[in-house]
Amino acid sequence: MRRPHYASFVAGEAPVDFFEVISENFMGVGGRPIDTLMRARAHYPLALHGVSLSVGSADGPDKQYLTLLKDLIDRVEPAIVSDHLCWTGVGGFNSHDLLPVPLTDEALDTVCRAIDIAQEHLGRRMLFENPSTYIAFPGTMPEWEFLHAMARRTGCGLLLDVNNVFVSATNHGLDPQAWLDGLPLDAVGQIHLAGHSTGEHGLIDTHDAPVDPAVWALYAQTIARTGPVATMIERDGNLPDLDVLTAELDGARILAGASELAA
Amino acid sequence: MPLNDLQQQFCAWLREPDEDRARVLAEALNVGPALVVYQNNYRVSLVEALRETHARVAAWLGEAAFDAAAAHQIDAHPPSSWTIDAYGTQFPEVLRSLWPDDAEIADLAMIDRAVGDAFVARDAVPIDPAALATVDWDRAVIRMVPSLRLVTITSNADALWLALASGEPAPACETGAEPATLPATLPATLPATLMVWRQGFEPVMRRADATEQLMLRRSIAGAGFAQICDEIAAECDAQAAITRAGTVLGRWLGEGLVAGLD
Repeated sequence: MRRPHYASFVAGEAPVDFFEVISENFMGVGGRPIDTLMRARAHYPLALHGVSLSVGSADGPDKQYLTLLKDLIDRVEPAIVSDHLCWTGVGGFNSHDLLPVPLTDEALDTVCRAIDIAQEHLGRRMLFENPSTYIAFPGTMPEWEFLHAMARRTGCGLLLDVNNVFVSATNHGLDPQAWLDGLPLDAVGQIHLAGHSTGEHGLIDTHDAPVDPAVWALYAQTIARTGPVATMIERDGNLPDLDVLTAELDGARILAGASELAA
Repeated sequence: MPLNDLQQQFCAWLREPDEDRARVLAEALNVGPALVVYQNNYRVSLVEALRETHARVAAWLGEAAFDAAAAHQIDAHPPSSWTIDAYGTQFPEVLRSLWPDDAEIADLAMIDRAVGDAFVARDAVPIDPAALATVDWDRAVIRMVPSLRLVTITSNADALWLALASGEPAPACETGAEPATLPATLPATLPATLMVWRQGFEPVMRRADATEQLMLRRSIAGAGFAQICDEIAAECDAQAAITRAGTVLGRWLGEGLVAGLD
């Protein structure tokens, strides 16, 4: 849910089955933002999507952050709570970017420990999104194996970003299909779709364009194997009218069948 | 390389970008030239966050000057909070160092921050004036609403901010003792204390007079209403002090500034 579309969601007129917001925008706040969220929540189930849990940081999770997130969860009762397989900073520094996790045993231990802490604090299962990456630190396993082990050890689910699979695989010279085949699809609890752009150093996950046809093709293969999964199209830049986005969403509905939830 | 070492090196490079350091880092981490994507993401997101928080400063300075100031801020003050919305609390001081003779720029930045904070501050229901009937005035402490922010300004930045927000022509900048652009009903002496808070969903602001400044400062410090009246009485007789304090309190109640009398 983006600001120009708030009125449609608050009125319950947006033709979606659920909506998603960035958790941090509503943590520890009052005033119009939380009022808008609650009024939209009265009409639709909600997915809280975080960007700051930083499960890959050597620092471990921020307890104040978890407390504020728990407060928000208790208030809005979301259907889904998610964040990213990433780290955002270390040693008190926060880059506010989703930085790539080295795919090593040490990092896997760190990530699993953080997810265990978070899920215990929040009292619920979380989903973690596979990131778009532009570099790959030296590692001992591919990302899909890392995600497999992460889900198995912590019981968390996967927020499968199909565009991120395409962007990361392309940037690292790998086959997106093979990447997808390796993922723990039985752990997928939500799917993201988005557009990307081409930069000097490869594909960039910009969320400022319609979903690429190649990503739609990957999505079709994914949904055929997972069955209906709540699917959302992310759009941050060049934001069109809501009816343009919901028309794009109809593409996901057609691929997934009428029983799928989509937002 | 241990995880903590890798992350410390990466973050050090983000904070202090340098082509030679980037090359050394890329070799050490065995990563390609796409490393710079992260440097770009880091700086662009911080500039955008500063621009969103400080929309009036950006409008006043223009894009190029604002971007240059933001670059100074990012170089001098790397972010540390879990939320990017909190980034830039030092920005007014950065602006003051860049434009020491233009007090309105840093003042605008402080007002931008205060208005943004008030907009999202935790909710509180202002006290119902009817509740005053049961207050023990000898012990009562005034508790202000959580959205209240106090900003000390040394220019007419409040008038400037309001003009920029409404799209009206900006008044001339004034940093003298008696700026002429403010309505006659407002305290004109500089420096002035600006009260910024939220009424309903909308931030509002006005200058505090001398009695209000004393009452705000002492109430926030936990002093009781009766004690504050005694302090005001040092400047006048006791009955006049109670009248002045009562007038201020009545105004605050009407403006939704009081969350409780504890």
